[in-house]
Amino acid sequence: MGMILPEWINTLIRLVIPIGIILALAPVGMMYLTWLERKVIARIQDRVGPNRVGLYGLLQPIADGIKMLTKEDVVPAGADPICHFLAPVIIVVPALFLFTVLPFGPRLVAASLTTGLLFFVAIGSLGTLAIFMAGWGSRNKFSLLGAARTAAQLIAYEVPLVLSLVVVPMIAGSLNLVEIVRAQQGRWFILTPWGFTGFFLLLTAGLAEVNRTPFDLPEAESEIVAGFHTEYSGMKFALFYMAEFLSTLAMSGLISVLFLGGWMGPLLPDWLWMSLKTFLLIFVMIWIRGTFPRFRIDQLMGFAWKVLLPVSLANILGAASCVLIAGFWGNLLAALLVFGTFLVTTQLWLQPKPQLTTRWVQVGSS
Amino acid sequence: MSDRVIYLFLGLFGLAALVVPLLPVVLARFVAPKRPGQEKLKPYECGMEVEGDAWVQFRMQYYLFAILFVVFDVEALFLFPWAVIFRAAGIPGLIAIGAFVGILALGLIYAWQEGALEWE
Amino acid sequence: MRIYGLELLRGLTITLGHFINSYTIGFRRTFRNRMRGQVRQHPADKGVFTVQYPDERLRVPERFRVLPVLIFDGKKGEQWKQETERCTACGICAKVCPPQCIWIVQGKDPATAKPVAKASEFFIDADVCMNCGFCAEYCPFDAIKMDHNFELGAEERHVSHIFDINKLHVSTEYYAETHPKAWGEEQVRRKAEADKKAATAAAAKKEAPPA
Repeated sequence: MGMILPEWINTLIRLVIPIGIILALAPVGMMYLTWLERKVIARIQDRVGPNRVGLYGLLQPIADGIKMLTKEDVVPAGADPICHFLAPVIIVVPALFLFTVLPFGPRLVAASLTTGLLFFVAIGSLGTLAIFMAGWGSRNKFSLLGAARTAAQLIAYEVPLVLSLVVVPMIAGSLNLVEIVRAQQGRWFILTPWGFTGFFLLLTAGLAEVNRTPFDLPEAESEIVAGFHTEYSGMKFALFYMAEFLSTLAMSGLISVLFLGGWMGPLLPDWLWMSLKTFLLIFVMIWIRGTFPRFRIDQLMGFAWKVLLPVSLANILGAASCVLIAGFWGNLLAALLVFGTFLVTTQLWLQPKPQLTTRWVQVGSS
Repeated sequence: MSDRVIYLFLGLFGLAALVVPLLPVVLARFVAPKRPGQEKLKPYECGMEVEGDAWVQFRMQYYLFAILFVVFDVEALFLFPWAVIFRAAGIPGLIAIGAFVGILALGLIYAWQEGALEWE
Repeated sequence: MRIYGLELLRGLTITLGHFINSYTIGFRRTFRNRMRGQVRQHPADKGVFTVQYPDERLRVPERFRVLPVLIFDGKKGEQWKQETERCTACGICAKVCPPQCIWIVQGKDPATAKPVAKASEFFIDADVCMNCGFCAEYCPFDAIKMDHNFELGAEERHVSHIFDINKLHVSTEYYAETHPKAWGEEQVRRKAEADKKAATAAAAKKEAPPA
């Protein structure tokens, strides 16, 4: 093959194949994620979940897709049509980009960037822009309120998210996701004190970053209808869900790469291990959704700035102590640092506020 | 693959990825019905008469958090290069970055004290 | 000093318990109920609670009432006849009906064309009926009873939901099946009444011998 085809065609084929695989598999994965989510949530609530369309309701996502396709696309009269049209397009593309850097095996990665981790974070936060475009472009109060809240939430959780990631390159010595998995050869990062904390920090901040319950304030039905996508219908509405589920999938993939040893595991092939870990994390996310009620907005902001941020800073120090004071004492110091910070910040955050007392002043009695 | 090929790949991927959202939207344009109406195209307000414009000023709180975000996101950006060479930089590097993070942490404590982190 | 977050973990174990129970207990229960041919729901039950409606149905309580039906003495599948019809077209049910959804036409003797104590037409507007059951309470002839059938959906209301006398008539056998307890009590009462009647008739016969 190599001698018949010129070099550039060879390169092109090698470029096109992963593009095709990702673009074909990601939407399918997303569709079945909706099915999985509905099934798991149903079981948690003692229900059965979709089971009418096909065996075990397996054709339900396809039926939903067809339904969405045949729904009218309403654009409000006062809306900014360009903003309104571009927002769902712009939100899906970065979500797809996230899969290019995720390694499913030592060689099964579309783009083994040296700055893979940073690329993931940078691309991942582009969604905020699209959400704000959707909120602004709809010219609807609920949309704008939802978008403003989303922006506030996403930037609040972006900080602990990025800071919880810092510990990984500190130990692995690289930002390349393949190298990071290789560095976990002997021991998965979750089994270290700083990795354990980092895992939970990343899971929490990641949940907030992909707008999942209990951090789904942007779409809080009971308060602001559907948040930023109130004015979207039909296929454009579906694209927002697509982006959300794709980001969830990618975020679970990232967590398993960084802390759960990525593709590593005995017996089974690389890609299967990676997929299993990703789906385990997705199950955990759905499980969390089935358990906790939604945050209130002030609790949400308080949690990000007052608890997650200090704890993630302490975790960086903990990781440093783990390396510099090797052995048991380093680990103990790291654990104490993180746990102490957590205790202090939660006390300070949740301590009962002093009651406001009203002082009555008589007017004009000087 | 060299980095240059990877960036070429990412560029191609970006173009190809546009198909995923655009294809269904364009397809829906042919399949979906189109019956606009004056009432239907009004902004959704739970069935109430639309009052005033949606494009209004935001409250101050959002700007405050945005500034905090800029501060800490830039900090995180500076942490990444240090994190990669963390082992080589050793204790002196840790002290340097510790001072940097410490100043920002003091800033966070100050902001907390001043009530900048309260939402009400 | 409190450690926050522990209750969150406890909450997670509760939902995980429900998730697992829905598979383990749900399966056993479903199998058992299929054997029994019914679906049971009890507050103490664990596992899946869903009743897969068209395939599975909960048994309704005997006193469950939807629309009134007319009773005729006979077996299931038989056609009602003027002789077996219990209704006497007295019109009490139409009078007590709060939303006034009953319309009765008195029947005629086919031979002599004289009015008889039988209904020839009987209409109930199913959408006006408020399912109170007054008609069944007031009927002196046990001719109108409340039925269990709640699957009354139709695509229009002006024809399908005006129930006529043919649609309303059900056999005593059907009623005995759906309301075993009420039917048994009714049998006892009717028998006592008949005995009493026979006794008084016999006494009257003895007292006043034919001249």
